[in-house]
Amino acid sequence: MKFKVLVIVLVAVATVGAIFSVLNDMRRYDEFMLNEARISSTNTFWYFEDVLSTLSNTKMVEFPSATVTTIKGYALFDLEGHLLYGYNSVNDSFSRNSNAYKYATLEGKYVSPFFKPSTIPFIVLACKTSDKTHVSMAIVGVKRSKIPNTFLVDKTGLGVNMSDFKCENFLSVMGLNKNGVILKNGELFFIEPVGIGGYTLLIKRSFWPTLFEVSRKTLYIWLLIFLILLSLMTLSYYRISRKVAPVLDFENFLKGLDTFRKYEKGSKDELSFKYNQLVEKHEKLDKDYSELIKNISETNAELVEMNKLLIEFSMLFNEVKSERKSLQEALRMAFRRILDFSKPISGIGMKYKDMEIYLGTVNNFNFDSSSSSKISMELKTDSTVVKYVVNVDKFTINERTKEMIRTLLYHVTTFLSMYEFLERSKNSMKYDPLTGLSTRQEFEELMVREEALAMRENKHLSFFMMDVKKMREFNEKYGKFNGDVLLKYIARVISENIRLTDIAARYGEDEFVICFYAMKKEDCIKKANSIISQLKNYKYEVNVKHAVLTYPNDGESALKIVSTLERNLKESQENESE
Amino acid sequence: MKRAGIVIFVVLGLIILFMLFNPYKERTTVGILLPTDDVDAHFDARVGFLTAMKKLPKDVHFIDVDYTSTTLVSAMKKAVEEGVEYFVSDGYSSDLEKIDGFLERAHSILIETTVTNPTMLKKAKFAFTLSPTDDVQAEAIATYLKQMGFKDVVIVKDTTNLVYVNYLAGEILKDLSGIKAKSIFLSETGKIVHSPDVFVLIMSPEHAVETVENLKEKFPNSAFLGSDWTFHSLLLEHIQVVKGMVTIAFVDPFYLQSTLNQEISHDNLVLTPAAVLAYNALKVAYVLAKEKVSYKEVKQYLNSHSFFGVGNSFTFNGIHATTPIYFYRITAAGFKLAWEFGGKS
Repeated sequence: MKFKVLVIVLVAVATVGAIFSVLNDMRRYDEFMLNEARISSTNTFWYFEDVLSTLSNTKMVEFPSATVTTIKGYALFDLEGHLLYGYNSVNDSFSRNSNAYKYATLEGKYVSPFFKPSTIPFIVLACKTSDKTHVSMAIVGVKRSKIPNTFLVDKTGLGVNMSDFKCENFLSVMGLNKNGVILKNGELFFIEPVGIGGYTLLIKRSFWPTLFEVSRKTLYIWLLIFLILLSLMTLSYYRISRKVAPVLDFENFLKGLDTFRKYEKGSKDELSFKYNQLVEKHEKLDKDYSELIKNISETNAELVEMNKLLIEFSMLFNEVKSERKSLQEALRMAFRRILDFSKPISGIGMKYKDMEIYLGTVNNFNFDSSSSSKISMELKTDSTVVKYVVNVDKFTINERTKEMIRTLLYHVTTFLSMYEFLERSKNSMKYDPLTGLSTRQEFEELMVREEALAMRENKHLSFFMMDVKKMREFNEKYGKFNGDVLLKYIARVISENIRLTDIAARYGEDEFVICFYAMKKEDCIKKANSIISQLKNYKYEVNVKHAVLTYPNDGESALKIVSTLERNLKESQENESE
Repeated sequence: MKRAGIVIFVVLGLIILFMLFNPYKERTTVGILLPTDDVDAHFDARVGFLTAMKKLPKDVHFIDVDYTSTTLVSAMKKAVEEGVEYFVSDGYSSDLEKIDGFLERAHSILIETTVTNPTMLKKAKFAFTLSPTDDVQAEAIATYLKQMGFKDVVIVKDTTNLVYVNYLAGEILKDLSGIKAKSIFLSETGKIVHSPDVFVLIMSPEHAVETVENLKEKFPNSAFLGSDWTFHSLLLEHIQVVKGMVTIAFVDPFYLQSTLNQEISHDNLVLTPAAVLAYNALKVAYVLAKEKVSYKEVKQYLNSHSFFGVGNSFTFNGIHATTPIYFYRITAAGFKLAWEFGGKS
């Protein structure tokens, strides 16, 4: 571990050293190149100055062969613009209208930008002669330089390579208006103004090859230093390792013992960090566990409470079944208990058929609006739909309590379904499902009341009973279905011929009885004949026996009269069969 | 060890971020297209470009794109690979023919200083010029000739830069319908027998001096009118020959007296009309580069913006700037404004 850190430090030191070394080398290289540019610039300056000096001090009337290498052309003007002597004028460079003549006359001397009549660029130099009477002009070439990529750049940004005289544009560099070192477009430019004619001396180098070239000279030293240091460190490391080897063996031996094994846990910091993490985890678990226990206790308490309620509801509904309490009363009591079931419940309401129950904060409008602070339920009973609304405090109620409330409401709904079923069952005992007339039991129960009423009001009760003859044969002949149709037909005829106050019943399988309230026997016989005559209209032949008796004339009680009638009809049937 | 790793990771991350969001890399690049085999012809343009570059802020990157007559497209291709999106050039109409569909392929824009051939400009796509196009110049020349009452016109064409000379001559002839006019090449001047009212010279200034000198001897009564190509300070150096000749330029001499001209006068330089166009062209390229105008929207941008050059403000009308056409008479005192045409978009 420590060895690795040392290697990193070593690499960092070597890298920083190498960077500083390269920067230092580049600085020295820049200074060197700038110096080169300065020397070339000075040489160019003196080259121009020498030519101008020669032009100033000489009035040539014949072109000397010795100067051919430097001066390519020559002209001598007087101050009135007359050409006195001219030799090798290129492209009318020697003209009184040229810039050279104009500026030399005005300013004393002039150095033109490059012009390139052929493949080689030239410069026109002009000056007044020392006696101020003439203007001399000369065409010169660019002075050759041994340094590669050295350019003489004129004031328009056109550069001429001083080695091969090729042209190159340096507008983007000259446009920066800077001297010294410029790094632009991956190239290094060393710029030094010449100081005459707006010329600039520029040396161009590619940046990356230059950097490589410069760093190549010193970088290997740093690499060497790094390798030597690395080697020394490696050697030291192995020597120290060998020295401490017995100690390490002993340490490993101790670690191998069970007694010390518990200490093999890494560094102290790591252990304390892990310990703190474990403590945090433990505290979190402890907190979660407490929460859970609390939650379970609350759930248990609520479950106990809910079970109590369910038992109470069962008892309440039993009372409804036994008709000791009305349904509405029982429901109101049940809802009161639900309201007290949990604190967050602030109101409860129910709509069931025509029944509406509101307790607490719930009113009729709560059924229409929806909100997060209420539980709305719409449940189906056997025959209809029941709506519940429970107002709750949304901030304190939890899902568990909500679920329990829903369970209680389901329970209430189940009871309502059961209640509906019981009601229906009761009705089915009172009326005969085939004919819709009262059953024998219902008739007998009603007779108790009718008898009391007739006695109190001193009225007659006339009873008419009839029995369909040979009903079994009829069924066998025309079928059970037609038998049922016949019975329904008889019931309909009876229903059409009785008043609202009269009571008709299917007394036996093929027996019918009618109790006419406040009707005398003669009238009852007439009514009976009318019914029997109507029965003749049925599509099949129907034969009935009948008998008529009146209370209180023919018996002491209504039920006795009815049983007499039944007995009479049975006896007459037996006689006929004999 | 872990910390050292984090340090190395952070340093590497910073380097990657710097490379991705390098503000210097963000700068858009303008390439200055200049030839190295015909340097004398572009002296004025170099003065204009350099003066503009010294004046403009440094938030746009400029690079030199040197080319010869045979390496134009390859030089542009290399420049595009180096990130150049906007070119500014003092080329000829024939150069645009070489470029062909390169600008569209490279998604680049070219601002020309003196190219005037509308066919070539339209063909090159995304190339725009600071000079009025040849059809506009031809209309100006024809209108001038008609106003001056010339009835017999001979157009003398240079034997180089054929795209330009043929197109301009053809357009002038079209606009001169009803007037006796013909066009000949420079080499055919010997065949002219009778003296026309006016010679229209479409040629380089050097050839113009020579031609005027030759034709004046033979036809002393004929007038001379030079196209924009002939306009050059070289004419003033041969004032005895070309005195009285009218030549066309796209810059008002009034603006040549600007403070900018005074600033560069200490270097014994003058902002000639060609230099002014170059100055304005570089400024337009600078604005496009700074606003990062794409090749798709450049036409709309140029046609909807005003630019402030050395002269008065100008905008673009299609592919050319709304520069007026000035007719200068060459006098002993220099160029003297004789007539002005157009200038409105």
